[in-house]
Amino acid sequence: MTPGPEDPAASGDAAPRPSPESGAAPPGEAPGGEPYGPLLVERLRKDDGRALILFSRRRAE
Amino acid sequence: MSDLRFNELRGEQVDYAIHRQDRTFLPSREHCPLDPTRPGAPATEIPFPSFEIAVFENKFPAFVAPEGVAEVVVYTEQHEGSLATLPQHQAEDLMWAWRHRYEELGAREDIEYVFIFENRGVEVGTTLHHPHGQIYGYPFLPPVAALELAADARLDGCAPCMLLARELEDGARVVYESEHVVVYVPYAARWAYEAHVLVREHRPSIAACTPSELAALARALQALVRGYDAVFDRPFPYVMAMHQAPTGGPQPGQRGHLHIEFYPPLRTAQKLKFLAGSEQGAGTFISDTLPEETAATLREAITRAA
Repeated sequence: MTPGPEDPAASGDAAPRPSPESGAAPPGEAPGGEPYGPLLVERLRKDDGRALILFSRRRAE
Repeated sequence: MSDLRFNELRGEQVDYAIHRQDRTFLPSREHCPLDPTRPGAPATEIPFPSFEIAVFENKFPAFVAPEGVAEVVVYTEQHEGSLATLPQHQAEDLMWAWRHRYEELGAREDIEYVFIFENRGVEVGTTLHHPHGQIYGYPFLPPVAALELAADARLDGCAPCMLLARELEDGARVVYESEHVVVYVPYAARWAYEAHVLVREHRPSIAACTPSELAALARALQALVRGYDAVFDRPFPYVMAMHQAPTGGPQPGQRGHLHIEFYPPLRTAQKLKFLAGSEQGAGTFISDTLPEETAATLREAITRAA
């Protein structure tokens, strides 16, 4: 799993993306997500290159 | 991976995606590719132990860039259930996810029409039970979308707006109403329990809907599917088709009126409507139920299931 081309992590500027194996921060709370309406949108790339987008409800600040 | 051939007799494209012949077909519960990846279990399409809504490029796509796209929209991490059983906020979030995909895919040069749909039930050919839908980004304007735009030209205005007004005036086939959304069995329904879901205001696409309208749309869709399941007290198979403005061609995103059509194949609790000679060979549906009668049944079921 690698960050997608649109992901800030690709530029090296964002915090490290949690790996699924580590069980770290659940989807939707990773720092790379972008807001869209009431949602947080995470863009990822699967190991075979296919795009994966996770939508989660934005948590209160 | 897919090949388009133009059928001259029909005047339409046919897509050959032969790799789809071997796609995942009704896997066992333990091998559902749309479930979250549990620790110690085989990896699924979503390599996380939990998620809310996931969208990914189909592993067996009917369309591939640079000639379109095919995505899978997983409504929930729960293996069982349906659009109707989502928590209300999640159904609303699904509207926003659909909107996001319509906007993003519609902005692509190679996509003329963003088609959001759901196949529910083995009766309509579903190969995975986990609640999900799909999105096709067609590299051309598909025939049904073209027909609807032609209806606008023939009626010299917005056909869905006119039809909605007629249905509201008649009332006999309206099965659900709210401040923002109306659901009815159409006057010329082709399927026994066909239903159309429309936002009252003229909105070309889901991107044009207000947040309140999106929330109302989610409630209406859930009410309809709950009602469907209550008609024969069993999960009601259907094809759900979202029709909205083409994103290519002249005036992208502006032509048309967002509406969601449901085509359930059941005509009784045990009998299916098949597309046979007249439907496939002559393009004329033969129905053995009247829309007013099925609308009454569906209206009562929606009320009962609320």
